[in-house]
Amino acid sequence: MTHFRRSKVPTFIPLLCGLVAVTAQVRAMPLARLANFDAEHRAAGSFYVILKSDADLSEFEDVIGEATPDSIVGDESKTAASGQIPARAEAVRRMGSQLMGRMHGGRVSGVNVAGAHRAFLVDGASDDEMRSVVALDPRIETVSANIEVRLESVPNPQQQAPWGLSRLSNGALPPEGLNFPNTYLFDNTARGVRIYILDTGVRTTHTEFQGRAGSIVLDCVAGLATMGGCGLAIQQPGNPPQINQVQDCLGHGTHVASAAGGVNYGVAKEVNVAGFIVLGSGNFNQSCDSPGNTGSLIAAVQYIINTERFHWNGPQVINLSVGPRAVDTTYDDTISQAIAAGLIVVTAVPDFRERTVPGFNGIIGEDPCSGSKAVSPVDVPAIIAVGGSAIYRGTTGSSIASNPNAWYDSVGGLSKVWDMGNCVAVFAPGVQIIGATNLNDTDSQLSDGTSFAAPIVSGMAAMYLQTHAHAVQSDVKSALINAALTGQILGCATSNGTTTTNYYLGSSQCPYTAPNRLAHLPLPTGSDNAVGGPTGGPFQDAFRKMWAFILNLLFN
Amino acid sequence: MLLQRNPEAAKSKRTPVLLMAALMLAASYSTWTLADATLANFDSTHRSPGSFYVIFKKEADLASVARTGPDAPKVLPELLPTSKETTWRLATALCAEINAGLAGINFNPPHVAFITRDASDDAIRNILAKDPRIAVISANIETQSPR
Repeated sequence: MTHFRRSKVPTFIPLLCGLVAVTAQVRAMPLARLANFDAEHRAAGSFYVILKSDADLSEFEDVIGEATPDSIVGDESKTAASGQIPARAEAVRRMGSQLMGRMHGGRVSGVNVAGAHRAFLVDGASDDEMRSVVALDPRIETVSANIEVRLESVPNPQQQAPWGLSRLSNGALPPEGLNFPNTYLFDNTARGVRIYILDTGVRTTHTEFQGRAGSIVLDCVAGLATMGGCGLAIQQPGNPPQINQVQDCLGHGTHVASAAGGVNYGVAKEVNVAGFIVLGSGNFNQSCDSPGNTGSLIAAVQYIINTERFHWNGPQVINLSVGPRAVDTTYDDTISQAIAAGLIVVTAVPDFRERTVPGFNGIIGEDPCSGSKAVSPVDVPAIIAVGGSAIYRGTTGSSIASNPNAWYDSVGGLSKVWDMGNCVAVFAPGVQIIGATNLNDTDSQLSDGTSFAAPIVSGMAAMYLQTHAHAVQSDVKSALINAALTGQILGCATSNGTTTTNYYLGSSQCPYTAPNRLAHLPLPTGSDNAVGGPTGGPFQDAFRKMWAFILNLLFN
Repeated sequence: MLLQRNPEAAKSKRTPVLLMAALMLAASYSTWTLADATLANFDSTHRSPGSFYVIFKKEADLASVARTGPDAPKVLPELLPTSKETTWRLATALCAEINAGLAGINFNPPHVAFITRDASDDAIRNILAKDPRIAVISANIETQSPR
């Protein structure tokens, strides 16, 4: 009797043919035009979906104002009645979200309703589902795969750099009579790393971000709502809503984000920037300067821990340039959870809390680390707390330096007295920091405050993570501390312009003090390189696994 | 003249005092057991007026919450915050009960919570804190306005 050995191949030929046929059919079916799907340098998982001009979205417009879990949070009845909800944008977002609901991955990360244009941006979606779900919808005109915007070449060192950057890569200040060097020599560009900016929002279309910035709209993506509502921009004079832009009506968040990741003004030239609105959104009956509270911060951080960090498969940093005015133990617990989850958390210490101290010839800030003036999350021991520094030449301000022509580093600046305490990990430039404006896509602005020192350190942390992808909070903190310049900062408090002090930060003459450490590059190099990017979602992963399984059976 | 103490009279005077003390103790014990939510930050400086972060108990702990009877919640007793939808409904009803606004929910288990607006401390202590589904009520702290 002859036994024939059965080959595995014929068994799977019908299956393979079937798959090819189905795939071909799906690819042939789309009603919408597909663009850039075969292009090189695509932004993984990112698509721009344009609606037909006659697409009827009335079914989505009708439901605005209802208090359902997916509705805009704020004050629904009032906003609906007063017509302040941007109905067209919200309808587009709802329609996009409905389509995403039929898929295994993907979320609407922005909406563009400028002029007659109606489109939405999708992140984290697979090609197959964009073809088989979105492109089949009769209301869709075009599904365009986004192309990654990359710097062709980042000049390193950066010439004519802002002082806040050049200070990082230059050592002890030069001798008398020399100008401060204005070159910035950076370790890397923090590619593959993401920084969350929990702030007033980010104008993601600003040229500083070169397409690397996005906004996360809490209640739109996870049933999680904060005071900022859904974040779809209300049209402001001179500030029309743009693709993927959550409104930043104050400008603080945009400036902070650009100090971390702007191409000209930022430390980390290619970091991915994710903005959250946690206060002052200006949306939905809120005034632009409406105060925030820790509840919104807690919700945002919880959302990152539980959801958003899984949408990015590289190292991630949370920058907190907005913080409570006192201790909130619930918020502290949440920050500790974030650190335990592997996120790197950097916070600014408070600023402009001046006080006088009997027997001390000067003005000083408060101690944010402990005692009655402590604030969250600075009091969390593991946090990377950042103080603000300035540089001055003796002749331009007070006679704080013994040599009137010498440059020196100081805490804060003239009439800018900021907090410090023993929990401050490092100081970083925080005076006259240039950054992107929220008013248009090209201009810049100058600001002072520890708010702008923190993102500089967040950017440095991101750089470290590019080559130490699995580093945890303590690793990053140690690296920043070990690389810092020591003994460089003069003055435990700055003068108010008339008072002279002659103290070095850390001297026993200071009422209280902080470690005399100035943020500095380079950081230690490593080989654990980050390969971060948006994740593909469960469907894409399952498809990859199935395909790998079939190939394995055929060829092994 | 030295007054001689009558032991019987002293005993009869002591009895009502002890009874009263026992009653007061019982009353306060009852209050303590009802107010089982942990309150945080109520005495803090820089509180955000009317704003509270209300955290529900974890799902496992919610299973032991009575749905009927005297220990059952007063507001929508049949509802547990185990989904986005029920959390939203419950948070809306609880805020309405204390005449407060609902600023948002946070459904990211194990953190299931909501944020109030315009809520009074008294209502929080006397009504919300007594709901057996709630674990922690944290008074929100105002965040520093950016410059």
